[in-house]
Amino acid sequence: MMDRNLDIENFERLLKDRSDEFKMYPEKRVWHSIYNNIHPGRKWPSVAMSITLIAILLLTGYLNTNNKNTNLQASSSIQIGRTASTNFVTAFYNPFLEITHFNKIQSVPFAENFTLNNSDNLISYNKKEPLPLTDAAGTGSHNGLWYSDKFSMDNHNIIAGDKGEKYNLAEKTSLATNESVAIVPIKKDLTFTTESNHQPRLYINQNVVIASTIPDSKNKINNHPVENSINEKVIPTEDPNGVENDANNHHDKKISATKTASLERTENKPVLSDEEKEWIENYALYNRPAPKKWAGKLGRQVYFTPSVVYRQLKNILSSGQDNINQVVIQHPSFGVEVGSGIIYSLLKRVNIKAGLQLNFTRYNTAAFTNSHPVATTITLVSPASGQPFPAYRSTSLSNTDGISTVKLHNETFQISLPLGADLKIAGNENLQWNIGATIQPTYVMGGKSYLLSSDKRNYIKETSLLNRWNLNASFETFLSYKTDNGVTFQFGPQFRTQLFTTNTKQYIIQEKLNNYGFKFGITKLIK
Amino acid sequence: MTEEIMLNGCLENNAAAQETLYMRLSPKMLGVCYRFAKNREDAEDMLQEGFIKVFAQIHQYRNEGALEGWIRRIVVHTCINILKKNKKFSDSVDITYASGIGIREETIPSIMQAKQVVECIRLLPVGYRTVLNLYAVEGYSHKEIGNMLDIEESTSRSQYTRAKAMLEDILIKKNILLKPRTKTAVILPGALASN
Repeated sequence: MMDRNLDIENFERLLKDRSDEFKMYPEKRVWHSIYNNIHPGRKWPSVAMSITLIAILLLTGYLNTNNKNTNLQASSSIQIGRTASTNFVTAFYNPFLEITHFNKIQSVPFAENFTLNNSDNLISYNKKEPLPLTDAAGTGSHNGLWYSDKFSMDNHNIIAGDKGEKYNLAEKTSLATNESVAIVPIKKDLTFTTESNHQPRLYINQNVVIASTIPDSKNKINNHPVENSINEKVIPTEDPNGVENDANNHHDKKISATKTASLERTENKPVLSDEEKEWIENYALYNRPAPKKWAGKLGRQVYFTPSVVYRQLKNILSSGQDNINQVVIQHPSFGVEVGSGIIYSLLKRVNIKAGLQLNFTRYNTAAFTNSHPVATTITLVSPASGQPFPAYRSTSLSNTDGISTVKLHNETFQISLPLGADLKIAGNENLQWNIGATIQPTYVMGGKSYLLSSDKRNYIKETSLLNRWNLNASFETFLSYKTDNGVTFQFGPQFRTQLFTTNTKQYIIQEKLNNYGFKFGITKLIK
Repeated sequence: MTEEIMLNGCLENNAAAQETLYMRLSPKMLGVCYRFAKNREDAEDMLQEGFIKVFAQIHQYRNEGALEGWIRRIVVHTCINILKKNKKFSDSVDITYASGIGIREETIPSIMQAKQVVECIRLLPVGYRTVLNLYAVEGYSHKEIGNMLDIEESTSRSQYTRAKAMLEDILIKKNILLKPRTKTAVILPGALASN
């Protein structure tokens, strides 16, 4: 009620208070960047970590592929994820995790690898010895439940409980009364870690989590009904939207305290109070999945590039370019490029891109037509011997004289797969100057090609020698303007060059096309 | 790790101590940056630059006043420098448009309020919100703000007055403030209630 009468001055004070309360968790990359900056000699070992992770993934995949049906028989598979006939429940009340049920107890070395099939059966286990297995259903005296807030891990041990006892899973072959090891499969990855402030947290990392309890008279939890079994709550690493959840932490502590107290209760009392259950339900309800990692970084682009097409000619059997360019009259003409692709913002200044584009190229040759075709030859190179030989053709197109002039269009229709990157040189968030480059594997779908005869007096229309596969490279610099609704317009000059000759190497005159264009593009963010 | 050990570690360029300091203060400092920045990415850039300065200048800290306050001043100055460099003081926003922008509500009331208030501040034009942040939240005087932003002291005052009025409008449109019947606005119960 006091707040009802707050005036503007108080409002200013509360404005400050509320603003001071506001916290956000930065992404890990921020610390990595700071670390790299203040310790330039000790770069963050991201490459080593990546290699290690890839190696682990490959090893896991290999082991999972090769160990199927070898060590674990169907009869001894652990049923996990079944709601019926469970002896107890371990529930991870985190919206990102599965609530998991299991009805048998398994002791496994922590370092071992195993996987789950679609029926939630443990199907692969890379231990050479038979799997030690104790069926809790048979004795009814074991519980697989992890509720210790204090734990840490080394290679094979979970150090849990107030006493800090080591529980060596690798050596464990059977379970004593009230002692248990639970295998908890989840859909997301988890790992244990301890924060610098000694807050235990559960991070997503592996496909499987092994949880353990230490026999302790204080921690007796036998014979609880399923619905009353104690449930370990995973402390979220961070609000999905990066907002510090002080109140959540407050509740965490509250639950933790309540949970400890609940262990002292008589066996038939529920471990979680209604208030705690309500909070857990609310937490699960309102904490939405993490936003897509690529959101705001991925864009779809379409572009259009009118260009002028030039060509370079070179006789591969001649020492220089000698007189080829002097004996032909050829003019550049217009080409065009249209394409669409995906752009991903890899770094703050670097975008990578890939797409599909169509190119049309053309240059013109001035020639003459005659009323009757004449016999002529083109010089080809034998692929086997590398020696030139004349190939006979007939044509009515002359390079020197004729009845009338004609303009011959040398054209290609190409489809390319441009792969490249853009680099921001300067600018702010809205207006930027960039440079970019792509490499473009290209397939020539068709075209028209007029080849010069051996004596350079005639042109022969010949499409069979077109080089179907080629490689192009393009370089561009452009200005981009980003609007508030996530659409970016770009425009700037582009140079595209053909790396291999237009015709196959059989033809002695190499031709390479160079396009000088002006590119217009529109990119829209994919949300 | 006590603050003294952490500070000594930072002075010796110890990575673990630096990380501890960062982990301890980065959430709050990112909240500070977020109030100045256009978006989260910009705020993280500001935070990054700010902490690099903190670690580079940590030997200048004289144990006079709280370490957090000293770091906060560096972070705020970093935010201002980045904003000045990008010349973002000319942005403007339409109140009608601003009121239509949704604010995602959190489940926990106190967090919801803090986030709502911060998001409302962020709806202000960058010049207004910078002055409002510096004066009302960070506690700088108009003279200091004038020096920081290279503007006249009187300009800072007028910017602040307008910013406050605009923020009140936004808060009223968001139903966080009651529309004033007389001279003063009344804060809705629960909207800004303390825990």
